Amino acid sequence: MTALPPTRASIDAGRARAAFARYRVMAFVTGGMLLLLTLEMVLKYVFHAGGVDAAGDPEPVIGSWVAFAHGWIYVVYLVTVFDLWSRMRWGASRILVMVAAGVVPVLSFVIEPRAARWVDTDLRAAQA
Amino acid sequence: MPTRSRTSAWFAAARQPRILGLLLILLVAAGICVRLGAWQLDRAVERSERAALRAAEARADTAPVPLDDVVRPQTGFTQAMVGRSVEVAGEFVQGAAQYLVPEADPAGEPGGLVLAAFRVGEGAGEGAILPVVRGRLDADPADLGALAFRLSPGGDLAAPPGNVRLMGVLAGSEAAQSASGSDGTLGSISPGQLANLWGSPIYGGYLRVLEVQPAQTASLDPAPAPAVRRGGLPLQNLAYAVQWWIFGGFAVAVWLRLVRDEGRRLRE
Repeated sequence: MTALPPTRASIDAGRARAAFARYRVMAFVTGGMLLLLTLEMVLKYVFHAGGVDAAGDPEPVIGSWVAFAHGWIYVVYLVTVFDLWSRMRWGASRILVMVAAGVVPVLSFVIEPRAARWVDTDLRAAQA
Repeated sequence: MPTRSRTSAWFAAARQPRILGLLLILLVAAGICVRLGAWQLDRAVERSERAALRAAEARADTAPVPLDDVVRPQTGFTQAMVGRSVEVAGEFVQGAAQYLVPEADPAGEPGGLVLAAFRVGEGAGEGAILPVVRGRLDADPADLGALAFRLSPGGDLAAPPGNVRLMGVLAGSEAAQSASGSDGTLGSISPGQLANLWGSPIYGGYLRVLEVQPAQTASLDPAPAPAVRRGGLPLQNLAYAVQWWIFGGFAVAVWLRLVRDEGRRLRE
């Protein structure tokens, strides 16, 4: 057995790079939206900056659309993650990290350059 | 390594302990996602019901106001009028038939609401017909036909004659159902339909009586609070529920892809 699985040879480098480009855009958008959502949550639930309604529930500050938008942007992000991950034929641990990066604040900005290195390394290995 | 068929490689890959372990984890994740989606839906329903109930309670708690202050005959009946506490003077129309509207009580006990025509005797609505639920009757739906006799003039459940003052809460029209009223029962309380049976002008909603002056002797239970029509489901919660289901499907897709790669590896 070689160190690298033999299926690496069947990776389509062009498509994989395109998938990475899509993932990268969504990683930035999701990361930015998540920071906005975190800010909203802190303002709403910690500081009650928007006040509370008649039933005592905190009111939104920036707007309830933030959580709504993040949810759907995250769905799109997951699609790009799955696409990239399956084209690169990565293992389970890498997709778990990338899935987590969309919901843990700041993590997407840390993982995105790391994913870029994964792509470079694996594509070079596949061509060698 | 001998060349294996696609399918057998797939199953060989799927049976590996590592892949099975991942399946377990991903299935748990998918299960949690589906459950969270259902929870979001529950919360959406609960929230809209609570809001509608709170609004209706707030209106019912107030002292009764003259009917004229809330609604006029032949005008639209809005959701904001539901649950308003009102009082009105007039008399039950003796020539008009009473109807039974089958409605189980919250405990599931069969029975029906006694619906009568009330001619308003004061104010802007003088002379107009107000559909009135006089009260609730515990009865087996099979006996409803026989009850028509008790509800007719001279029966023990006939509407009392003469001037009375009613206090109660307003309720909105229900969608007319096909039941014609010919057997003494109606499928719903729809003033539009009642106008054909009792004549017009008629009010667009109806009154559930809580108190009659002078007091009635008939053996009717007070009508339960009008059913609060809940507002639409909050779209946001609905969207969250859908998202959770998508995440659940995502976990399953990840596993299938893992098995495929593993199977390909085994074949080569």
